[in-house]
Amino acid sequence: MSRPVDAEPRPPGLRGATRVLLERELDLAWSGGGGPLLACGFFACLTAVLPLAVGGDPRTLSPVAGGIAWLALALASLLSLERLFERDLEDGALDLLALGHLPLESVVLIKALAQWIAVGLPLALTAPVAALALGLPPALVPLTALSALIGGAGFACTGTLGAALALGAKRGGLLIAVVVLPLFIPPVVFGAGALERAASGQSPAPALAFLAAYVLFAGVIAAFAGAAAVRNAQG
Amino acid sequence: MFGLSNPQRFMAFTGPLTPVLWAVAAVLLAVGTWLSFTVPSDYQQGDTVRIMFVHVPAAVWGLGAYSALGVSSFFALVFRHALADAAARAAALPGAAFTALALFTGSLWGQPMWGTWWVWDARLTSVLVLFLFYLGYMALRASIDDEQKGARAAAVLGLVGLINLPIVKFSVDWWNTLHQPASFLTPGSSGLDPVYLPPFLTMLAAYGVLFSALWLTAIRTEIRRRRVLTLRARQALEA
Amino acid sequence: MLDLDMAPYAAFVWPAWGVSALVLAALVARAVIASRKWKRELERLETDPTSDASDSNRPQVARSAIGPLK
Repeated sequence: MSRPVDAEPRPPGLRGATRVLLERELDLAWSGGGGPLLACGFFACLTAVLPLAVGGDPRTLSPVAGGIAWLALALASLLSLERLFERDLEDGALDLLALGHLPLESVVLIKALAQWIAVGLPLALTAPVAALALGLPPALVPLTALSALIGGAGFACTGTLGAALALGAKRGGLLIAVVVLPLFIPPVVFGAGALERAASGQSPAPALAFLAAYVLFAGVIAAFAGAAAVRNAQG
Repeated sequence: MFGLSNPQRFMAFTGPLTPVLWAVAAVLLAVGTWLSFTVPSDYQQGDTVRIMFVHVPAAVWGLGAYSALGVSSFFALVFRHALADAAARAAALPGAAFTALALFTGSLWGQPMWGTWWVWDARLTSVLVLFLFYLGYMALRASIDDEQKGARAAAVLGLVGLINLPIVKFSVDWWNTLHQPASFLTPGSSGLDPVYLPPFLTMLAAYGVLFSALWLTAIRTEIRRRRVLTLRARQALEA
Repeated sequence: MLDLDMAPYAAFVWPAWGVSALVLAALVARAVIASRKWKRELERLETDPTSDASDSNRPQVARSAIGPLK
């Protein structure tokens, strides 16, 4: 070893710690059982089932294509939320994270960010495809992808909050869904609304602005409330 | 630790108060019911206007209960006060029941009025979301075995819900303008005929006093329940 | 004045009021019954701390293992 024996390892610093945690989260998300692919697969299944349920007539499907795509996006975002904190709680990693350099609020936000990158991004890419399959006018594809991207961040933050609240509870997955779906309503309304407005020729900008505002709000709430929930579940 | 001072004062204060509230609620309900059925029927709505006297108070106080729940949750979180937590928990079931009543009676009002049992307008949809909030709150509380942890998690959710409710209402209002249902679908938006004010206000007050009585009684029960559990635990230790 | 003929809306007005009355009554009953139950239990425990609950739902305490239930 070239390092002097009595030199202490330098602490990583906040930026380094952030990066390490983010890499860890992304690693866990992508490696264990294909989280993003699972979510996209679920999304695809929903998209396929819908015409089977309501009839494949484009006149019925096309007006609601954007809205349905958003609904499926919200539901698919619910998947893999349970594992966000549960596994860490079980093997003690959560305690280490809580004691580490990063404040718990940052840890929660980083987990939400990783959720957005790992699950939200693939879903945002799949959303236009699904919407097209349901009869969305092709001109709206970029808007669909953009709104799904922004909305995905909102789902990730709110979903992370739900996962933290349901930590240690029975039937965690279902409980998270029940707790979180009312909170999903604003992004679904704004996101689908943006598509509606664009489809009728108006500007989607106000809706996107509301969506972005919601994401910011959700991020702040998720950080503080989520950290409080995690502390509660540990202690 | 379950401090006795504040809860004791609470019990002493609410002890004589609660029976008074029950009595006042009973009187107001009786008077309100009488007024509701003796007031003349509406020119447009006919006798269905009488449904308004059970529908609107239920909706208003369902919302009021949620505010009580949210504010109590805030105090429970910030000051870690057991009394505040008891207050939040006590508001949940009455609030959910009132909200469910609002939805049910609203549906019965809607069928003769608009020809449909349900309509997705801003008001009804917001009340439905409020009901879902209640369900999520009660589900969360019930699903966590450790009482203290469940209480704190529920307090966080209660507070988040309180902040979120205006946002949800805003988004649903905005959505409503997007999807422009027929403009006549807003009962009561054309001003209320003054002849209907006495039954309306009486029933509104009645529901409010009733909720207060239910709420205070439930808090008192919760305080006693915790005291019993503490005493039993102490007994088990000393056995 | 008091005209109880709600025609043609009777099928709507009466269920609305009836269900409201039922639900409110149920809420009141539940609150009062629960209040009395825990008040009774608390008074019993506070006045006679050594008494054993005749309630079969009571979780077992150590004492019951060393002697007959009083």
